[in-house]
Amino acid sequence: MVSRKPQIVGKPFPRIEAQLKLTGTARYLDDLQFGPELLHAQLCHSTRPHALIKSIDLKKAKAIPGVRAILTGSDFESCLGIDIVDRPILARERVRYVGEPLAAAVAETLDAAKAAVAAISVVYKDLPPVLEIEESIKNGSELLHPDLENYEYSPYIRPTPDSNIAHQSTMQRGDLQTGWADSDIIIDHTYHVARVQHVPMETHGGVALVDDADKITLWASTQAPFTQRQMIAQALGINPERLRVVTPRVGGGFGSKSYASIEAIVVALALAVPGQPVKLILNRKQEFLCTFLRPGLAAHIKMGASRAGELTAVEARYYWNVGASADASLAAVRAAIHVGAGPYRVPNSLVESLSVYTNQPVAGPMRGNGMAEVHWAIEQHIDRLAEAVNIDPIEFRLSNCLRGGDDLPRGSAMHATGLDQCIRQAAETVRWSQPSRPNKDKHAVRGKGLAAMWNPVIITPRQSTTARIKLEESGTCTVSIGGVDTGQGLYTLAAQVVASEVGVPLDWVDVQPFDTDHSLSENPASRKQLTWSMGNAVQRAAQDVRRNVLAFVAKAWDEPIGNLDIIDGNIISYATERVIAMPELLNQSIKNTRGKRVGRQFVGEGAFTPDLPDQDGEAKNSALPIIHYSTGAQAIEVEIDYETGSLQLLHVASAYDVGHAINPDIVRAQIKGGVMQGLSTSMLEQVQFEHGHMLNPNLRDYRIATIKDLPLKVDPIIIEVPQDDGPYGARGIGEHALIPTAPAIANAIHHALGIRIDSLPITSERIWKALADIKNQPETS
Amino acid sequence: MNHNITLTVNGVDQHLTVASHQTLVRVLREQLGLTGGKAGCLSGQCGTCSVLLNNDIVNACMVLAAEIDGCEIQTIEGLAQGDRLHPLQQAFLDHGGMQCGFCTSGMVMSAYALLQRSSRPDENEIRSALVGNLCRCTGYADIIKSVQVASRSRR
Repeated sequence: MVSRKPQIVGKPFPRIEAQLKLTGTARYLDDLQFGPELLHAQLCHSTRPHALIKSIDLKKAKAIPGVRAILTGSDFESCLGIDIVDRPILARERVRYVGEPLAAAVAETLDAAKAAVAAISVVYKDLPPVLEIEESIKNGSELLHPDLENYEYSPYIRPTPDSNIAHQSTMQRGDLQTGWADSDIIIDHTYHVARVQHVPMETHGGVALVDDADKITLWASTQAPFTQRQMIAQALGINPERLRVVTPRVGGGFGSKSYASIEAIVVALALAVPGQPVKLILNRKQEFLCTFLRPGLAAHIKMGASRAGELTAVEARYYWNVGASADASLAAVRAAIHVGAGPYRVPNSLVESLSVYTNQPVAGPMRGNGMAEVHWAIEQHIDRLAEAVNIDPIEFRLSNCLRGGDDLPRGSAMHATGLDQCIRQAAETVRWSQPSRPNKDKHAVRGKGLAAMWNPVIITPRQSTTARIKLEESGTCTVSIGGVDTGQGLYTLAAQVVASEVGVPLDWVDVQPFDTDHSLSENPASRKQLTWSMGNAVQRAAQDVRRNVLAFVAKAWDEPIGNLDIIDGNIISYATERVIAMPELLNQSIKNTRGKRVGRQFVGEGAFTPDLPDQDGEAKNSALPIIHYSTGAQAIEVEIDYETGSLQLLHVASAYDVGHAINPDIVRAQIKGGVMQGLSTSMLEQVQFEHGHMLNPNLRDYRIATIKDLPLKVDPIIIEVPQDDGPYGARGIGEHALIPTAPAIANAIHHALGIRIDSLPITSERIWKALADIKNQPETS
Repeated sequence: MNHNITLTVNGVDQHLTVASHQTLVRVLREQLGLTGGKAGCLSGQCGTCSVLLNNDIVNACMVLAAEIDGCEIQTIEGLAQGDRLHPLQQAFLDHGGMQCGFCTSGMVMSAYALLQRSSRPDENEIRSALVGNLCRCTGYADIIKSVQVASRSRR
């Protein structure tokens, strides 16, 4: 397929925007200047976890000088939602969590806007809050959405009427009863995952302006401008084309910026004060309270194996705590049935996944999109089984893990994958077969653990990704792609592909910032695999523009196109040794063989629509075709102080099959960053609630990993088993490294101390308590 | 109440009128247009607004502008000389010490302050100096490497 050997692809290059970021000149949302006309918005939040709104008094607020408009839930007819329309822009009739926005004010100064929302008085009628999954699914539990069955939802979403269950789905393979009968060992256990926040360093925000042509422009810190445009336009009842979403640099998102959030409020306020820009930037507390949290999870896992170590059956039930609205976390909930039995050959399986409402902040996708949570349960359970049949957990995984050609639960065959290589290499890197070196400190013990992972690329059938390239007079390739660079290095990858395919230096490529009026539509569901989808589209666009240039020059020179090439920005003929520099061609023209000067503009376009696999049964009905799986494994050596429970990671070896690394530095950076976020969410992070009130919505009480928490040694390992339909064989990498981190740590702790931590996060306190329980056991029994 | 103050910002005297409650980060961003330092938490917990105040690293969101009349401020915008990056910036560029970039200005300034007072910091010193600068993307390893390379290149 690729005729020429890529020269720029496969090599490390600094990010193309690095200099801007290092000199403070990269512009993020809050850095954009809107002049003296700028108005400021603020939000009024619910103080109750669950209540009916009896009345909202705006009189005092409206009287504050400088206040221009105030909106409440009754100003909106519809809600936000793609698959189920269940998220109010501002709370209507009832509030469902503490922090839910229920009114918004816009004023001439920030102080006036703050005073206005502080002056709003709300009369509530409290309802019993539903705070836990178990409580929420009980019969007769207080309903968060009593009108659930009348909501708009996609045909593949199955809400249960008169319940708090927004969606329920299962996938079955073989026969569980046969599986249990074939098992020598059956283990049953429940695991819990705490709710965490994405904590992008840049909070959510938006600036909106309705101009004199009645067009609305929204500048937003978002990962998905078109998704945002669609959701906001739909909820506000306006034409999507009337709304333009512009994305400056984005200071991290990790999934929290992939749906519309408070930006819908900003647009609504701007419509109330046409002609003036309206700005709302959330503070850190608001970021915790009213954007998104990762869903919580209770996972009930039952697995069977033969004495010889062969997996016989898996029954996995995933109950997701999605907070007050289900829409933004449905992708995770739905994906769980596809991966919930683990990356193993299992003849008999039943996987169920339920989206459960609670009076907590709304759940949204977070890096890994449900996968980290699912693997927390599965990968600990695999270790338990291996131990029960007395087989080394690496051997157990290697003998059961999926290989190319194996049957998958959804009815098709697994593609080529390097999962076994990842498991082996990660284990070897931490010297799995050798015992840990003892620490001089007699209070500390060491252990090693490993977890494997798989991560599906799921798309919906109508999706495709497009890219466009325009050659400028100077030779610059202006590239428009269907994706936003939120720090992962996407624009650099695109630039590398274009430079390599067209045949120009890297610094001739300019990847355009995202603007829905000019950019091409992104592919929302496979955003997680932009390298694959965007990479393919941009590769085709680059080949297209190259073809156009070469065909034009070949005609001018009266030579066969096969004679020509573009090297380092020069078009050359191998036969006649003619040369013309691209800028000369583009800026002036080219003299043809009859002495006439000819010229034109060149553009290239590329689209990538993946081939959908054949699927049967449940998978077909779920409208969630899986294109491929990325796989990997992580091995971790830990040290634990058994007096205090304090835990340190000595060595992390993280191996992923990326198909082909387009930029190995960026791949390794993604792995290292993912490991750290995995470590942070595994060991440090938990949003804590008391009676539905969040106790730690700030960066002091909700601690994320600092530079001091960095493990002593992180080894990113790149495995390359090419993906048939990937650009140069590449797959994505962004999410993977945090997926197996938590279970690998838990397995290492078990190896060191013989204790199991079933609930995330793995805090020192939990380790200490588990140790105390063991110590107490002989005395009490 | 308003106060007239003078700050020397990146070597240039700035005569400013500031309100009592105005923090340094607001003054830098809103009055002087120096938007390199970010308002990540406005409560001294994230380090995205780190600048040098009389050669000490501070969170600019925790400093009242009215209280620092006559002081010298260095921000990320003053580090490069024209198009020529400071060796520390160059090291961050070469070794991938940034991803989304939102923490980068503060991170670089904290590292710069460290290299001002310690010419050849070991890894522990680097970790201690940068502990107040949160980064959610990089995993920190490449940041440590960048600082180490920069400290070596100064020799």
